[in-house]
Amino acid sequence: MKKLTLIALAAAIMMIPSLASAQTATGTLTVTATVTGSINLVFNSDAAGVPLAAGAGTNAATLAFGNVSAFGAVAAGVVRTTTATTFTVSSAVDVNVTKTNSASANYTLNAQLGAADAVDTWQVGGITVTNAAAATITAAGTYATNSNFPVAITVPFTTASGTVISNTINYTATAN
Amino acid sequence: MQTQATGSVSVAFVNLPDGALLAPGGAGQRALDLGQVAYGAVSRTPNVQIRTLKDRMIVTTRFGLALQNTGTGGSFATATVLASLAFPDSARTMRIEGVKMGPVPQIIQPRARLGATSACRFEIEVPVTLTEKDAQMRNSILFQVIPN
Repeated sequence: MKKLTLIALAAAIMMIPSLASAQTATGTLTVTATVTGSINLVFNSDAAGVPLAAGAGTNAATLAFGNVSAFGAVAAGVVRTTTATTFTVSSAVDVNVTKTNSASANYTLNAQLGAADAVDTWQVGGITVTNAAAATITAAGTYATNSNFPVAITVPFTTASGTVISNTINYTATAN
Repeated sequence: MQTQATGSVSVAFVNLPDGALLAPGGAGQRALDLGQVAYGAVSRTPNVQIRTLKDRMIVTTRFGLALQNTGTGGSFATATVLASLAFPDSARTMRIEGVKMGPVPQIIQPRARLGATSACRFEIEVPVTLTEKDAQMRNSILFQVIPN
């Protein structure tokens, strides 16, 4: 009886099918990155001012007053005032500064004239700007808002008719 | 009596021509530094792309995954590749091959070929609302390769 049992067990073991097994593999990829905050400035046309001639929605725009004079017609959107010796034309212009990945509460906006102008007086948001140094227009600008900072040019009556007035105003927004 | 056959596989991370450079290290333990990334800017790290959407930016690069049969006694043609994050990151979303990563292993390649290198697309979504407090990102992606 014992002999029979042993043979039966041996036969059973021999019938076990072969097993193929595989070990798994592991790997580790460590990833690092640093997110840097950023701000962006664009110009937009203001409904009350002269529509930007080019570049609305970008950081390089053109504001064209057209023909201006102390007493003649001016383009729609141009506001004109006069004194005894000068006239000033101004137009509303919107500046929109947006921020990303930053906890900054507001921004400082500076402006500087691109080239010297010894004849006319330039203003942004009521602040006189020259090419000598940047002037602070606001120290607490509100993000993601079309903020109107009117551009104004004061022209003396002595300026000859037909004189072309052209300049660049460089704006710089800095996160506070 | 028939014998058991045991095989094994290995996994290695390799550089791709169009991927960010992996830091030197062991084949199965590498580091990937995407450097500084900013919304609307071009990454200074080669082969790292930044795409901006209204509410987030997506940082993208690629790396290679090389799977090999090793050992004796058996070989497999394919394997399932799973990946997971070492710890959760609620500030950002990471994806490999479009699959969102988290602490639970996810299948990123159901039948990856052994003996070949496959390219994996790696993405990090960063919301614009994320601030300096969470600017630094460091995590590990754990890969498991199971022959099938």
